[in-house]
Amino acid sequence: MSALFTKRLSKELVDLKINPPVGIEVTEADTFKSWKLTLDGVDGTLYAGERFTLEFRFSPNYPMESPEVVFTGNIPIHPHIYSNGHICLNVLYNQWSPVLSVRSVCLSIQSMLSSCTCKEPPPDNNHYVKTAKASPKQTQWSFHDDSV
Amino acid sequence: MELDDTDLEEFDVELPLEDGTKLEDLNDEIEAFSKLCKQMHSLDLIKRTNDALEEFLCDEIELRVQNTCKGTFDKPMLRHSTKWLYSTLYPWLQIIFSSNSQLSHESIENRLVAWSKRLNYHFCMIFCDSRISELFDVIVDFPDSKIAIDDLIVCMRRLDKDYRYRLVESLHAAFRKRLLIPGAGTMDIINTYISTIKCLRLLDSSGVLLEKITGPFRNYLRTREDAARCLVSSWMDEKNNNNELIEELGRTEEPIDNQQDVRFNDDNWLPDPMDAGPDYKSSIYRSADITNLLVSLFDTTDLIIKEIQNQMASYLLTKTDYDTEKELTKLELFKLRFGESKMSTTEVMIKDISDSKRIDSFILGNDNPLRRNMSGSSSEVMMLHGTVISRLFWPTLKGEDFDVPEQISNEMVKYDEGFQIFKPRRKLQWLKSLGKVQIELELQDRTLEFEVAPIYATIIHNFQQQDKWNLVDLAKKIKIDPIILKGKMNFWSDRGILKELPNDEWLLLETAEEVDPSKRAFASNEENCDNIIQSLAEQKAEEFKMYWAYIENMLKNLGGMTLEKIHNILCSVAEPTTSSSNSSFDNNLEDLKSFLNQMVVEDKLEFQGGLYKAKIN
Amino acid sequence: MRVKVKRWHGVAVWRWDVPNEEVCGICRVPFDGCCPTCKTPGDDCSLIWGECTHVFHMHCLLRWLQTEGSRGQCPMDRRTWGINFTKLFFLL
Repeated sequence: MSALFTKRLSKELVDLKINPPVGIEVTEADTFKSWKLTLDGVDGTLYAGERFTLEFRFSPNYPMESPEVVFTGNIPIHPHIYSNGHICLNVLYNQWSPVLSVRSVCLSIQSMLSSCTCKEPPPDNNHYVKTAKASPKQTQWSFHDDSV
Repeated sequence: MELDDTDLEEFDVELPLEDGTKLEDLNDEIEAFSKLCKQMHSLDLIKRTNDALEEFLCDEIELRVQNTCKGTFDKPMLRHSTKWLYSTLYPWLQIIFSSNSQLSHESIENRLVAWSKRLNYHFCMIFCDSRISELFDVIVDFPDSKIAIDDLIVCMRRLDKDYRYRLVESLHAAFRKRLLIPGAGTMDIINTYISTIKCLRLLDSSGVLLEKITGPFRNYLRTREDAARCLVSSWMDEKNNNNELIEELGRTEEPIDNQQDVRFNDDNWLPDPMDAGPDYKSSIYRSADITNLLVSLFDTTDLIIKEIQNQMASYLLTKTDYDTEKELTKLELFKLRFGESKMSTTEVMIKDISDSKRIDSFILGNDNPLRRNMSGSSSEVMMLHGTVISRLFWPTLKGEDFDVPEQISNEMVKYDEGFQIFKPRRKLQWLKSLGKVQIELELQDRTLEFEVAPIYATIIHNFQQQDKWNLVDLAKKIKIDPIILKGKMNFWSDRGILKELPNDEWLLLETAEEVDPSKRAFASNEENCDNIIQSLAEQKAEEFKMYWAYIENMLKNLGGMTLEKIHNILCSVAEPTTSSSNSSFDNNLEDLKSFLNQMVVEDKLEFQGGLYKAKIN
Repeated sequence: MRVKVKRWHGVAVWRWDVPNEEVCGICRVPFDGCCPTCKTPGDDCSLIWGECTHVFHMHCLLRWLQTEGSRGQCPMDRRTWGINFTKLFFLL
């Protein structure tokens, strides 16, 4: 494993634990392969009072390559989140950049949830869930709506 | 020299006795004794005195060990005593046995052999007990006492294993009573540990005994904050030429962290001895490497590495000639010892110094275009030289900022300009309190030269324009806290250059005044006390400050906690469980305790009933 | 009294000419340190400035630009990366 990979992830982990963003908590980070974090729905939004779990899987090329990020367990109902946990968010795929981090991805997802006005699954949910590969990174995403 | 029963026939009656008399001078006594024995024989009394005889001989042996062997470690007392047994004690036995005219020559010999075997064994026990009881002194005297160790080896070989445990116990007791006590200096403890290693290696090559006595040292040295500092400073010490630790440092096998307990490709591998304890690691205790044994007294090498960095920084920052040859040699030894990656920070520090040499000669040389332009004016000779360091690779350097004399601060600006040409896109920030200044003071009646820290040069420089300063005014002028300045003024008053007047006024002494010589002697060493590197304890406190917000929040949200609980949580927070991680929370409980107590003192925490609690505002 | 300074040996730290305490966005190590693959800062692990004014450890940025996903763009603003040559002047 490269020095960049381990040093960067240890820095991120310490930072997340010592200085956690509101509503986000690392619950499992025993290895540098995958972490689990909980994400609390923000008060005053459609997801207030709900708690979700995000799983991050890191390739050895992190942060040059994006982490694989999915919801597990209780999947939020949201126009950009498929019921298999896959998230349609450009920074996780073609708009990834090494200056992004676990923290910034969590915050993006949190704000994606917070800005939601109508709790409904994506229109193509059934088709997608049937045909999608295990990793969302293998999906050919098209991002029409950057505003949500 | 061995106590061998076959020596029996080799005794030489011609040998002088201990008190200078020869056996032949005692002819009259021998004759009288022989006569007495014969008479007793005829009365059949000899048999009845056997017990008394044995007791008497044993007493003689004990007296001999007590009076002659005890405390003498530099002479082969075992051989001397064997000689004494055969040349002085046993001849009397022979007289007794020979007095029985019915005994054949052969059976006299047999009896003599039987008795001498018993008495030899008794001697061996007494001698061994005596040596074991004084083993601590033998160790302290080592290597002058090597002969005493050799004697002990011979004796222990003849006695049962029980004596090994007796030795360990007795040594434990002696260490507890005489060495591992507050009054003993840490360096003495370390040196005694080294001698102990050497002695016990001789006594027991398996290392089992050594392993058994290492525990108390380890536990005790843990309570000594300066243990790592002492160890490292003896490695760094250049003045002491026959420094054993430096010699040992160079004798390395492989980096400590890479040592494995079992080496499958080790042709010399032996199973662990029967009486080895659970902590016994043959590779360490058997190997001849004293440095590794010393380092293994500490839980991790991190503390030692940090101490090396700190002491190396102190050494390097006092350099004005940029010569790092010695430090490089040390670095290579440390690399072999602790592994290259652990020493990389120290390597950068040393490289900074050699880079500084190049930077300095560029800036002051003709290649610097800024210099070329002004080479016409002779007044532009730069007094300033610099050491340019990579800030993140050095320990935290202490020191106040203040205004150096104008000439120097101008040169600092020029130096920075030159630097920016040599190293584009980089700039300098001067640490004004660090460095060394050579100055010459021309006073009315005397001219004096000094090599001083920049603050002292700055102070005295200001007395050039006016010979009397009020402390507060001077502090304002050089932009430093008056309280700090006051402490520094004494440097010059101790040297008879300044004189303190009432009301914080300081006067330059253009002509010398009588100074109490005792005071002056004291003053000459004082400057060395200025410690520029943050001590490890201070660094620890800084580290904890990082976690302070977290600790405070935790206590606010979760209520009061015990020291142990806080420590556990911090460990889990700060240390990702993946072993490859390099961020770690290696602070131990004691450090955390002193930090939390400090927070209590500063009124930021409360301590009640064993619990630390957040202050409720 | 006359004070003659014969030699003043000072100590200075060097810093890259970037805002204080900034870290490289890619490796999160301060600019004055070195990227995770290097051991020595400064000459051996220099910085690179983009036309967009963003700064990185050179090694970190090159590694990013070598990836397919980078599409030759600055990690900060996703504009096409171009070196700011005015920041790379060397004296003749």
